[in-house]
Amino acid sequence: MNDGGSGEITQLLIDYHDGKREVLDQILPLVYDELRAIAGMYLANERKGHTLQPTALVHEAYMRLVDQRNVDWRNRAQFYGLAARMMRRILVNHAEAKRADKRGGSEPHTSLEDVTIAFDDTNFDLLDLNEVLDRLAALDKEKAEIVEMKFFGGMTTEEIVEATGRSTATIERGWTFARSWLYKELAGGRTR
Amino acid sequence: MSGQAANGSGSHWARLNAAFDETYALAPDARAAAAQRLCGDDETLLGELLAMLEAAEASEQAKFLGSSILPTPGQILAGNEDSAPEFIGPYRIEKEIGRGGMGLVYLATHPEINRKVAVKVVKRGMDSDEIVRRFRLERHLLATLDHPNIARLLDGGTTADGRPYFVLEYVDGLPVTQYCDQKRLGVEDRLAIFSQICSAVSYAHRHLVIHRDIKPTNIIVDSTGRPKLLDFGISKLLDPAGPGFSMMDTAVGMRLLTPEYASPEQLQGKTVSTASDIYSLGVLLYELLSGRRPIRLEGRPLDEISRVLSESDPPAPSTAMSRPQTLSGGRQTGEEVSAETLAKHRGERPDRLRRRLRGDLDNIVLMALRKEPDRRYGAVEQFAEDISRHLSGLPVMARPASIGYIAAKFARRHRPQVAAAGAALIAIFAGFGAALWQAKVATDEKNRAEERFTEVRRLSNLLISGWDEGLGEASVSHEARARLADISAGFLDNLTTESEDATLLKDLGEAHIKLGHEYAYQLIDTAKASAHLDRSEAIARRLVAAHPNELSYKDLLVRALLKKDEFFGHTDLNASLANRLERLELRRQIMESDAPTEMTTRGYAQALADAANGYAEIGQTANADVNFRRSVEVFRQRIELLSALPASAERDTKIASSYAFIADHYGRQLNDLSSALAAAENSFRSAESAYRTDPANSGVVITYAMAGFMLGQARQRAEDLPGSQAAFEQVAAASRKMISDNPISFLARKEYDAYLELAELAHMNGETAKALEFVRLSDEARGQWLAGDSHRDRGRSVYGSAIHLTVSGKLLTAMGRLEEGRSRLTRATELLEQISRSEPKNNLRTANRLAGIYLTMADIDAGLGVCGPRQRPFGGVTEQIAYCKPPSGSGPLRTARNARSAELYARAERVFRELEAAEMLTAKELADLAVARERIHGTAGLLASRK
Repeated sequence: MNDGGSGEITQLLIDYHDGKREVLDQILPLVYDELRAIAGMYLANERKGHTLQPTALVHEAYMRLVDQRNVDWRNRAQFYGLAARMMRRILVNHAEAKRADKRGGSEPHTSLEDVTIAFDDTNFDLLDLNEVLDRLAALDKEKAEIVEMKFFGGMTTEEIVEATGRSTATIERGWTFARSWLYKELAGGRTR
Repeated sequence: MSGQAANGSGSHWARLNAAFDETYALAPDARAAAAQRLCGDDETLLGELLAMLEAAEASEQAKFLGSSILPTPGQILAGNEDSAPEFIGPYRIEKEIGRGGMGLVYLATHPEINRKVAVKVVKRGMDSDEIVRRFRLERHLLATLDHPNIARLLDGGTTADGRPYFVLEYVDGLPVTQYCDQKRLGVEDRLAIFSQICSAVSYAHRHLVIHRDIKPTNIIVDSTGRPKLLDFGISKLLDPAGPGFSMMDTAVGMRLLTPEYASPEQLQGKTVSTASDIYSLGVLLYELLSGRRPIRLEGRPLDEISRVLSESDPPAPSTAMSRPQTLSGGRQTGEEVSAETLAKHRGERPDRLRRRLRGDLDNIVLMALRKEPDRRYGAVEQFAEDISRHLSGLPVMARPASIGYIAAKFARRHRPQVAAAGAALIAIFAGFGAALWQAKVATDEKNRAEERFTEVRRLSNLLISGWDEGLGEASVSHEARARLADISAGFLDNLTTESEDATLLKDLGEAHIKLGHEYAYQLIDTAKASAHLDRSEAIARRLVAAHPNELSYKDLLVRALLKKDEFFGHTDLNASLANRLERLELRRQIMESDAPTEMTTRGYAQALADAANGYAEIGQTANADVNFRRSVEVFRQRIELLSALPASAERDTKIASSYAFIADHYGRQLNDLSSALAAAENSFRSAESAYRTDPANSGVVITYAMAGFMLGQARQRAEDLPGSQAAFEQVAAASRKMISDNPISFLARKEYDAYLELAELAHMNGETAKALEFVRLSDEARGQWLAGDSHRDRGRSVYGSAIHLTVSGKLLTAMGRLEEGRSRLTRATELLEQISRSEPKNNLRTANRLAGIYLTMADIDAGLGVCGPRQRPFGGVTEQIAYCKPPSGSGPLRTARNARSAELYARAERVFRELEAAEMLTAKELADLAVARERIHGTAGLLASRK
């Protein structure tokens, strides 16, 4: 599948940048496979005492997948944005699988730790966040993307500015608003 | 939902947003007051804004979403599909054996039959619409393929969490290159395996499937040494016209393929055809024979790859071995493989292997690898054929590119079209293709190119006759028909050039006529029909102008004109008459160019009748009569010519149909009932004789039914009711016998129409029970035909139902069964209204009918009875019999009926106005319309006077 190599992902990113949104479906599997390969290598090395920051993982995927010569400055940030979406999918799928396992009872000892996120003095479910984030996207796609990039993609404000082409002030305001709104929705849902 | 539901409107959301930004920027203690001020009276907004401000502070304090949560490498690895599920459907999963960007392949067993299978499933989280569509396409394609060298589709379904999966035959073995190396197979054995692969690919092509990703890892050789083609994941239906199944645009599709095996046109995102698979097969054969790939591409970016492929020619396989390159399939290890090793894998020494490949095999491989798709083999069969010729020591078709190519200029000009068309046609005519490609090996390039050209023309003729023989009246689905027609049209578009090759042009003209007919009659697409007929006419005119003495070109022109007139003549009566007169002149020239034959007399006699009808349409009855009489004479001349021939079913059918024309001219046009009856008797006698000789021939039966029907009506008009009944009974019986094993719509129609005629006769004899039984039989015959008619939802068939309901409804009304009759008529109007809505282009006859039925129903409801046979506007042959019911009822019932009839008259009037506005009425129809109008107004007065 990856015989396409770096030229392929580069072209796809360029197309994506040019507005061909349907290309996303072709990019994500490639990104995912690459992330998976890197994660595999990382895990193999971890035993030897190495550690790898998740952002470094994305960066490495980028280096491996993208043909540097063909990429203008914005594509890198866009790639990170795509990776953020991928990360979100991975986490959500992971959480769904855990939840399914719990229901199915095949793994009774599974803890909630890796699917919950510190929130107030209790925990909330990643899947709830995912759902509320989908609702936000329906109301305001740009704000949901900011959350995706920042929270799931580990991107800095500067990187988000680069990826989206919007101003720093817009991204910061959008983030504050989105975070507050998500909090409000989750808290509201919880007290009910 | 905390007020979120109220956020539906964008402006509300924008206001909340702006208010939040403004207030939150203030010091915490100033926010509440500012919020009050900003929101004014909007309590909802204020409530939400305050809640947002509160949430903002709380989330800040809680460091909500403060640090990102990227998945851990472990989670990434576990990823979208935690681990292999235990079961997918009934299949027990054993292990993962493959994965691609979107799918996973598991080895599994069916617990009951204990058979190993491969289960392919969409990855969790990857089930976007596009991917699921592509996945389903693959499954759909596989379901149509059943070949010993293609992994078979066994089952399919949806997982518990809603992802589609399908189950394939599990092929336990090695990729073909590895298999051959491991077994140290020599060149002959490799070629034998390769030929099997060709047969699978060519089979797929014949089923309109292009694989698009042929490479060693998609061809697994099982333990018995049989290669199996796998992974149709990015394959495509060969369909120049159909958006239906082409799963995604080529530009995206191409990025999923494997560049080393992809053709230059694939890499450049151009149109992919069967020639692209031929290229990939060429790469595969190159690698099987030499151990190298034609062009080294590893590590190059895509744009460079396509540049390299379009600029450099691959070296011949025999010289490739000496080139340093890594072992195929061993790319990761990066080891260089020596020529000695490669040769050893083939059981040879390097120099001997080189000699073995030099010449034929080099030529064959390089022919498949040509950059221009149209210069490769025209079909996989040819490729395989060349290999088998090589193995049998015969000369091969492939030659190195040379001056010979340039010499073949003429054929070259046509070649792009030729290649594309050839591929499409071979694909369409599964089975024919292989036989046709057994072309002799020509002695030089020029002859061969021209021969190939001829082959394509033969294929085009096959395509054309395919409509008649295979599809003419067959119950093929509308979609399949439309697809075939569009494919054929695309093919014709490719072939139509400024060519001066007259015989090719003639074939093209014929093909356009066939397609025009198909679009007009079967697919009800007036615009396309018109375009094809115009092209056939233009081609025919060119030919006639260039070759004034060639009769077959005149014949082509006549037929092109005839079709045009048939479909579009009613839109301009003067143009139609001119068309008819031109045909008449051409037919005369054809007939008089030599001693008259039954063929040329028929053509001329029919042209005379057409011209007569054209005159009649515009009211020139004297001219019409002259031509009808002349037509009768020429038909008699034809009968004489035919009678001199030895007796045969064919001859007798021709005689029968000539008499039928004569009977029709006398009966309907010249108003000479006794001559009409005599001719109808003669017609039926000949038809009967043909039917006795060859009762299984559908053409004969059709003529017999037609002649019988005509005789029945002629006798009825001559008031010979028992004779008429006998004729209709024979029609019904013969039709039923034939359609029970060979459904033919004409005969089905004749059968149920004959029953209605019989019902009518019975009614006229006062035998009500018998009449009802015949109506029932007619319904039954109609129902049986419908059940087997895949067009039943299409206009043509719905129209047939409407007519049947109209005729039977009127009959039942006349028999005093008013309710049943009226409900049939109502149903008929519903069907016709439905047709006018769904097929507005084909509106005219429908509107005609509709108006006629409204009028009839209004008449019935007004208690006027139904008008007599001669005044019936827009009536068909069967309907021209009066069914009268005296007015009855009184008081409220009558008032209600009056109101309803008034409404129906008004509705009929509306339809008439539409018809007039369309300006598509013939003179006769306009006259009928005037009669109908008169009735409507007269009746309106009558109704008013009753109140």
